[in-house]
Amino acid sequence: MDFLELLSLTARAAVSPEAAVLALAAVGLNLHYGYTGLLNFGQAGFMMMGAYGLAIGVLSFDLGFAGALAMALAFAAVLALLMGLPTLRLRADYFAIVSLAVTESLRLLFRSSWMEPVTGGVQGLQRFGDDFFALNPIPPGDYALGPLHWNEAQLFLCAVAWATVVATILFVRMLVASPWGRVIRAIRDNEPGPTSLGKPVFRYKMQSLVLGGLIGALAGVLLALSHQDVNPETYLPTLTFFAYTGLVLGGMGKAWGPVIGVAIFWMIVAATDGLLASASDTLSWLGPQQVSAARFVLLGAGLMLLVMYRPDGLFGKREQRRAA
Amino acid sequence: MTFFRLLIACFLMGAGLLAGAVPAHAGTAIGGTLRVKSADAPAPVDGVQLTVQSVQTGQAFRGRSGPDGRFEIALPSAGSYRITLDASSLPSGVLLPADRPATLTVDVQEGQRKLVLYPLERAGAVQEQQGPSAATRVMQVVLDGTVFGLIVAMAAVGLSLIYSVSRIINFAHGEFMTLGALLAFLLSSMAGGPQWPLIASAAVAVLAVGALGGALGTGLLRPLESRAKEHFAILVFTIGLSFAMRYLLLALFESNTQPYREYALQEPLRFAGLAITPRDLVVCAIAVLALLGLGVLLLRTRLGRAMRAVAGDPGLAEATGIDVNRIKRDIWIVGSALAATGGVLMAVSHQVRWDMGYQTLMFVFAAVILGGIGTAFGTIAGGIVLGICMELGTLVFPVELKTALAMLALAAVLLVRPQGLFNRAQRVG
Repeated sequence: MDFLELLSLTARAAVSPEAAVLALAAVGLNLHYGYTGLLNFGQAGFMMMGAYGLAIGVLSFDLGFAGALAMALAFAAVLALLMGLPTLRLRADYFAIVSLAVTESLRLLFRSSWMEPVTGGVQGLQRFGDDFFALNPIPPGDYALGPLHWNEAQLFLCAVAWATVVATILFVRMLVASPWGRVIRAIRDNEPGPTSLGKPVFRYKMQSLVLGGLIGALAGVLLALSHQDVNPETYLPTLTFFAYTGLVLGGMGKAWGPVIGVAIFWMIVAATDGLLASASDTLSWLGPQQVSAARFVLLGAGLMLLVMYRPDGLFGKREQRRAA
Repeated sequence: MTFFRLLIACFLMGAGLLAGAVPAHAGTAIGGTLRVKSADAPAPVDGVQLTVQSVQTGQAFRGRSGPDGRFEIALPSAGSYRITLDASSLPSGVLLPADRPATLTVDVQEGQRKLVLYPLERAGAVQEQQGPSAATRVMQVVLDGTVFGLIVAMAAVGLSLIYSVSRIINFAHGEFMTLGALLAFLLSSMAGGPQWPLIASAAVAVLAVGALGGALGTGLLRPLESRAKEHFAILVFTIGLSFAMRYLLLALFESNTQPYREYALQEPLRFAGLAITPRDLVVCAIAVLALLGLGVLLLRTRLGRAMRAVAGDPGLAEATGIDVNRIKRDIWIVGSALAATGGVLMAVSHQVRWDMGYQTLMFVFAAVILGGIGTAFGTIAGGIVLGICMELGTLVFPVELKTALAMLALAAVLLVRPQGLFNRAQRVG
């Protein structure tokens, strides 16, 4: 594989709808952890709610795109309540564990044959995106920019995805600068503080959880539209940790951190995937199973090194974090 | 170190029990036992002809059942095989039920002894299809749940101990389980490996994982604790470690599911209508002994008292002359060794697989939360309660919803008793 090929591969990865989806999920996590201090290990669950909400809304309830989108958001809000009500009054570790556990159980529930009439079980759901792509104003044709190619549907999806990312980031920035944002940052930095001032801390945490979860659900909706397929195997906890990796890379508690981090992360993933694939052609001991495993070994090792040496992201100091 | 003496004592006791259990044969094969259902004990069926044909090569192999009903047909290699029971060779009065096919297709792994079941019936026998009574069924699932719960409790108490002194949830705990089970597999059962007895392999594996845990707790996490001063960094570090270890194990071991050579196949023992395999009995015995040993360690020894002191208040413990860092290291060793022991027991009861620990981690977390995070005895009770409740749930709900329902029940328990079932309420935050 020559250098130019690798370059265009990484460029395609950085602007792909998948990168936008991951960035959006990371924006939600940024609101949860970066600004409120909620250690949510179940962002994949919110994404799953979004994806299934959309697909079930279209297929089972015949809602049309707007109605199904509302249903996706409602699903995510319910999940946030389910996760938050038992745990947000407790030590942070409880929330971390329960968010992971509830997400994974819901995934198992959705893939069970008992839920198959609604969720499609292990086959998942398809053919729910027509209403969305019918909204496409872009005339049919091929569009190219340097090494990047789209057809009209891909271009539409890409534009919608990145527009959602930008709009969401602006929204989160506004929120965080508002009086509400000051309270959640105070909760992050020193929970007894706002508690002693009479702020309903539990309610603020819950609001932040729901909002970040809704952003996660939007990511899930976009992922479902981009794959044109909703499958329980997509929403493994791995997805959450992908988003966290992007978030840590870009720096937590920074408005644009998630996007930058995810773009870099996705480029690294694409580059290593490309290199590994070409290495497996020449090295006989590197079989397909080893190649797919190596990607996750590198992810794990990368995460470890990152939090050891650059816990504040690739770029410099954090702005407002607790002193010690 | 007192604990290691205890641990070794537990293992020696376990070794005696293991030696008494029935080992199965090695080598790639298809096997089973032909029995005919009858009113009292099932009777073995002798002299039945069986034919195995390879799907890939078409090669055929023959075998017949012995006087004890057993048959075993050795195979040259792994692959797909069609096994056919020759119905005309069945003794008169015995038949295969009409709804059961005489030919089955099975996939056999390298070195695996694949179990094939033919449920034979007596011709014209009155169909007393009432099955076991409801009480027996409940007893059986309680038994199954206890076995699973004890294994989970082993791993969970390790996680809980580590949390109690270092406030770290080790997300790589599940991989420590897998690593223990896999090391024991490599040493005892892998073709071309040293083929040690399982008990020696398990002891080596447990000690190795304990050492790894100690190294992790002192070498990597302590500097991280002092440098980053952030809980998050450490949690993400252990998550990264979990990923790296899990997929490294996948790359090395590939996605095979394999049993230990000595415990591949066993006939369940029956008493009072309940069934349990000898290996599950051994698993229970070892788990109970190890947990009792842990209890003695924590309550009766100097080291245990120091551990509880550090868990209660590290500052105060240090002021009384306890070397807090050494105790923390010891706890990491003990906790990780417990995870590895749980992993080996899980692999004896089920099989070895690259993600077995990760699949169990959810239950380990649930047991820890159920019992109250950071409490050793609560966690043990939490594990057993979890195991029994999950199996009881299968009487009412579909089996595949077992995990999901367990987690949702856990969330419900947290709403009512956030401190866990066995923990005293305390002010938090």
